[in-house]
Amino acid sequence: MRNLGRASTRVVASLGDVVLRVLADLGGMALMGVRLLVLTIRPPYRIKNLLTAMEAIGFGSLSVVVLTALFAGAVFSLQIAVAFSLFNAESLVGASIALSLARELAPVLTALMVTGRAGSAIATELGTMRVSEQIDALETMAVEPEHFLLVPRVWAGILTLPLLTIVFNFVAILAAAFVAVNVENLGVAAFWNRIPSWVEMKDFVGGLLKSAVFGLILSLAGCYKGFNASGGARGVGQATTQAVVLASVLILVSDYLLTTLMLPWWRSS
Amino acid sequence: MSRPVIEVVGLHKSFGSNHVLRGLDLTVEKGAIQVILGASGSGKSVLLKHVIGLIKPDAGRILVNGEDITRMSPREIMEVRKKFGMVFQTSALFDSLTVGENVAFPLRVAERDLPEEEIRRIVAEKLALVHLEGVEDLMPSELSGGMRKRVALARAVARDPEILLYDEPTTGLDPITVESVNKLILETRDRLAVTSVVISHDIASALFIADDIAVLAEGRIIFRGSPREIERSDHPYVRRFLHPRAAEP
Repeated sequence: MRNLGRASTRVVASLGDVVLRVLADLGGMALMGVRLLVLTIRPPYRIKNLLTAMEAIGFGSLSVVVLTALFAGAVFSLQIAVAFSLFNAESLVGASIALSLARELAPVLTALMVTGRAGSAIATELGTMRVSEQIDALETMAVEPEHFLLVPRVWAGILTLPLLTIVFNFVAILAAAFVAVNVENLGVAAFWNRIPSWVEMKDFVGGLLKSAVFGLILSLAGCYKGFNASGGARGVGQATTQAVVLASVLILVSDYLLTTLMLPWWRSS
Repeated sequence: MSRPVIEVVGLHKSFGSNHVLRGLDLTVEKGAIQVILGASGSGKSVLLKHVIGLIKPDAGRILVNGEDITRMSPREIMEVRKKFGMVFQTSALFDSLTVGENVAFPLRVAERDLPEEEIRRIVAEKLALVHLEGVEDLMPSELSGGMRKRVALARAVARDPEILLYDEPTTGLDPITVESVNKLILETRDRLAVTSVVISHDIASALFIADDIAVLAEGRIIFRGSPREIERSDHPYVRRFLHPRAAEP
């Protein structure tokens, strides 16, 4: 009994530890975010750095986003078609898929995939630059490292994620339609007909707004963890893992909050 | 006598409970090669980072050309840093850029209106200064440790700084490369008339290149003098540092 008591104390203590660490990270990220916002308006404006970062995040993640969208759309279509056929609602398959893609699946899955691919890359690159003194070197050359390295990466995250989410939506709905028509023998018209009346522009726009927030989260988490890395190769590895975990958790939590905020808007006619 | 280029007065710095610098005083004369000798963990790098304004002191003043950089705004410090070039222990070359782009980097970010042709000319000139020619298109990962150090020096002098800081320039290099790096430090001083501050625990190199040596221990400069004076010193710590075996009981 006493052992059980001790074990549960340990569990609570380690849970508390995790919560404290996440809160500390949140505070650190928020401070960094504010500082980067201030630095954004300060010249020189490094458009080339922004485009390079957008290429790394956007173009670099395109294949993994397309692949995820293909299979997510396909498997979602299978499940929905089977479930809806149970109560003869096949005509709503297309619309349901389109709506959940636009509002939830496309922004969240895109953000999680990009976190794994580009968020981790940001943390690794910056962490390596930190431990090999490249960031110090920038400072000695009278370049503000945050201005030079972080501002373009964070904006690239904010600007690129909505674009990738549009691609995800497009690919996933096509894959879903393909599976519904060719595997579940749903009519082409039955799949597409209800979509225009069910899915409005604001559903799609709301999803894109979410994805911009997720883009901010994943790039800021990568920047924050990478920029503050210490302790050689091991430290860089830890920073990368922490950046991915932190970003993933924050994306899922903020998705819930954003959905709660957007629901009244989505529901209004 | 002209005013020292760098004056450090009563510098204190702690990290947590570790009181690294304890009222350190130091002056560096114009055009001199000032070596700061000290054991690992004695605070040499911390001192160097204070001089270029990367770390703020807990107490004390650091004057560069008579201006106190500890009271400057970050933007003013940025301006002062343009007078410095720094060669890092790990060379700290940007590994995503070619050698040429590394040397050009300080020129591109600081003097944004410099024409591309002029940048290329300066890059070639600085690489020639460190006896490296035609390596502009190589990546840092393709270079040996000694070559990386040379490129780092070429990058540090790209903007013709007044003061060059070297962080352990010979650590981790083979004896032949050490000699060539030492000669390069002397040559660079002679050709560009820069003031050099070298932190090191390599006694042989220090005796070879230094105009003046300051020994850092327990957070203070405990001995100062020319290479000849330091060799003759009977200060117990200095003797132990110079002749570790002879000092053993």
